Amino acid sequence: MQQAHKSLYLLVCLVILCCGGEVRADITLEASLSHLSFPVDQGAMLTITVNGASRISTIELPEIAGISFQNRGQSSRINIINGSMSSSLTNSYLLQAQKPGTYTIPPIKVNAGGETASTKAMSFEVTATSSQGSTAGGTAERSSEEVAFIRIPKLADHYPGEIVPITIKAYFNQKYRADINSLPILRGDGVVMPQLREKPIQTQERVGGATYHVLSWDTTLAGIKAGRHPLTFSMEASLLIPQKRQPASPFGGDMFDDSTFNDPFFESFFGGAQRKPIDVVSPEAVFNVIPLPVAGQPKDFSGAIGDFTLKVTANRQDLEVGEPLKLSIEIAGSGNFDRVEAPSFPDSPDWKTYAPAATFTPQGNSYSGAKVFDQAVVAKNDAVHEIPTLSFSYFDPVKKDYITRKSAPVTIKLAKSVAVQPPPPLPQNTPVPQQSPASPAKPGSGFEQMAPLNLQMGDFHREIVPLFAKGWFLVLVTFCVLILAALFLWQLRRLNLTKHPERELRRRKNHLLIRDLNQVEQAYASGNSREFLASARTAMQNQMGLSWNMAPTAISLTGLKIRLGPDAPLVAIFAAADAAAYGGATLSREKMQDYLQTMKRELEGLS
Amino acid sequence: MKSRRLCCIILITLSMLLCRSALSQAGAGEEQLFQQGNEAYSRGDYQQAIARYEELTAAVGFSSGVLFNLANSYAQAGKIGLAVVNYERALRLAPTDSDIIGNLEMVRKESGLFVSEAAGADRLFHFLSLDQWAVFALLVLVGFTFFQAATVKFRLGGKTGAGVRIVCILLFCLAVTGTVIRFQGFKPAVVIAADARLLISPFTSATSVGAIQEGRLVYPQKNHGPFTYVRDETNRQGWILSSSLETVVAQALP
Repeated sequence: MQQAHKSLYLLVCLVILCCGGEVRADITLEASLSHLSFPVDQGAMLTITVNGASRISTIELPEIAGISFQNRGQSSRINIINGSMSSSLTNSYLLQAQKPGTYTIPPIKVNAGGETASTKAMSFEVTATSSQGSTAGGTAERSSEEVAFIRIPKLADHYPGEIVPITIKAYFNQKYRADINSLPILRGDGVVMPQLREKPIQTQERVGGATYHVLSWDTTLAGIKAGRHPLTFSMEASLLIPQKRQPASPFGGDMFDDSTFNDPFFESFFGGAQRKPIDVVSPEAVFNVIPLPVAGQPKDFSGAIGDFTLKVTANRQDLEVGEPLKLSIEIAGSGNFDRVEAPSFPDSPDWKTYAPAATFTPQGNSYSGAKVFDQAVVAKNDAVHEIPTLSFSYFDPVKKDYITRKSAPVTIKLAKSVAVQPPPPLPQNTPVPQQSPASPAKPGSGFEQMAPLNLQMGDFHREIVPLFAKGWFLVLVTFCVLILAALFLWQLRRLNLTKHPERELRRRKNHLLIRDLNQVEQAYASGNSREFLASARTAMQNQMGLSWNMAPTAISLTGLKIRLGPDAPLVAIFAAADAAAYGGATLSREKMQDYLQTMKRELEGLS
Repeated sequence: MKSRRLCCIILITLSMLLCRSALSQAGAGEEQLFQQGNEAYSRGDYQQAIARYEELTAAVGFSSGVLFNLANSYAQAGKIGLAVVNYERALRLAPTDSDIIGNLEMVRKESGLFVSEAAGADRLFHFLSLDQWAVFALLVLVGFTFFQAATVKFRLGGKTGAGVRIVCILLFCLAVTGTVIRFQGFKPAVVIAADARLLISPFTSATSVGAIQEGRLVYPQKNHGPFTYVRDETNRQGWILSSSLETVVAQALP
């Protein structure tokens, strides 16, 4: 079965090869437009089909004012009917107009297989835009040639700290290939923007007759001080510019000029692209921050701006005096929740309050949601019957007025306890017990169980420094480090000597030689020939002993004669020393000087 | 030669005695101020006690006893921030004093200044104080030096010697790391204003990051005009008026 398939393929290939000459025979040309009438914000597809050619050399597209052609690729088709083969190539172009009107495409010349043919002229109509694009306010209409730009909505007047939702849109012309290198950055003082999310919403829009990829980020702005704050947004991108390949043939001539490899496909595949960095910027906008009105500002206003509701609930209604009660104070809505603070519990001798713990639950975005303050309160006596009204004030930027929300009183039933106990420890997940910041500790209150005064002053210090910065500490550390360094060097030296014992031997020999020769010279200076010869003998024994790895006392005249030869100068000196030691012979001063010079020369030569 | 040495020793001894005598003369005034502060505290006149202790500190410097009494006076006067500052200062001079630790904890607890417990490696490094880590490092260094010196006289090589060296080096690294980590928290500042706020920018009208309690420890990072950029114990960061802060490790007295 497989062999049958292979045979069929071979047959088809042979037929194609045999008919190759026929393919180039005659070419016919067809050109058509997908729509003869289309709106300016859309386009039409121009198709040019060349029949009877397997390759197109050139298609000369005409230049028409206000009309642009974008190559959408090439497709080919081969038909074999009753052994007769025909081929066709189709090139597609997206045709777009910049403004409405009636246009005519003149005949298009096509060169294929060495022959040239032309299409017929075609007319088409471009009508007005089908629907107005979602152009953002506050920016001018863009040119269709612009590579990329950023748009932001028009900014009105706002208050300090007010959360202003905006959408930042980055437009990238589809005619160009581009990469994004950064997220949009706010440039300007007096306004802050939270970190943008990594993945924007991607859409397409037509602006000024050109189609753009649009990346959108929903974010917020907030003014931090009153005044006019000019701002722009910018982001870094890279424009990918296709690179032309080098001429196909290094040898010149026509052999490779009409090569299949001159196809645009290979141009883009092998040509690569050069990255050109570009800055995508928005037009300058002004964020005008106007100060909050001072008149009518409630005392408990903490800077919250937006639209909020207040709801207070208690975890139970029945409790005993001294028992903690958990209040949940929920402030919901939209606005700058960072400035929303817990309503302060009214100062009362009947209640002990603790600082609330806050939890914010966003709903869809960072400026909408609910902030819940869990606050523990303890009734100090049984005279209380309800939790007092709590109030929360904020500024409504729409109504341009301060609003104060009040909670309804929460009724509670207090059972009398036998004795008022200090509040038991609260569970771990309840708000941390602490004094309300609104009611600072009164003198003498709360600290009765404090450790008593210290009656000893202790040592005085001119400054507070850590122990490791004190002098004695540093001296001790330095001392240890120096000792360690010295030990390290000593061990290094010992290791070195162990590795090279000849160095140590040479050092010892030199040391002994210097010492022994000193003694010999002293004896010479004193003119004592016996002492001179005895010192000379010792010097020779020491040097020979080290050189021959023998005990110095074991070095004798006989041994010297055997090792150095009977005529060696040192042998004569050694013999004279022996004679002086055992026979009482003496030397003249000249002889001593002669021996000294000889011995120095010979022994230094040995070491 | 011997007589000259003897003269030198006598001179040094005499000058030391004179200095000691002069110091004890100055100590009489200090003792008086200290007693006045203690008496004022005992009768509940905390402002007077604070004035006496502050005067004493400005005159002769910092001592753990005086700072502890001063902190107690501030706490009783309701000035939690300054109480915490002086307890922290006292702790830096006497890190193991249980009275200072106990009173500081009580003041923090009563004021709602709860500190999140250290976790993981931080827990290990918070097991000892800065000075204890430093002493530990020094002991290891001294021990290692002695061991190395002993190897000159005695043969302490082989696996035992290598094991001791590795243990010493590891312990020394641990102690130095502990010292470095604890030193990062050695110079905090304390919020001393009752209504302090952290702001996102160094402007009075800037958006607030949130309120910060009096007595809360913060770590200053940089300054801009009258504002200081700080990080608090819960890792919140923001600008705060420098006048709302008091540094724990104060400038050296002249």
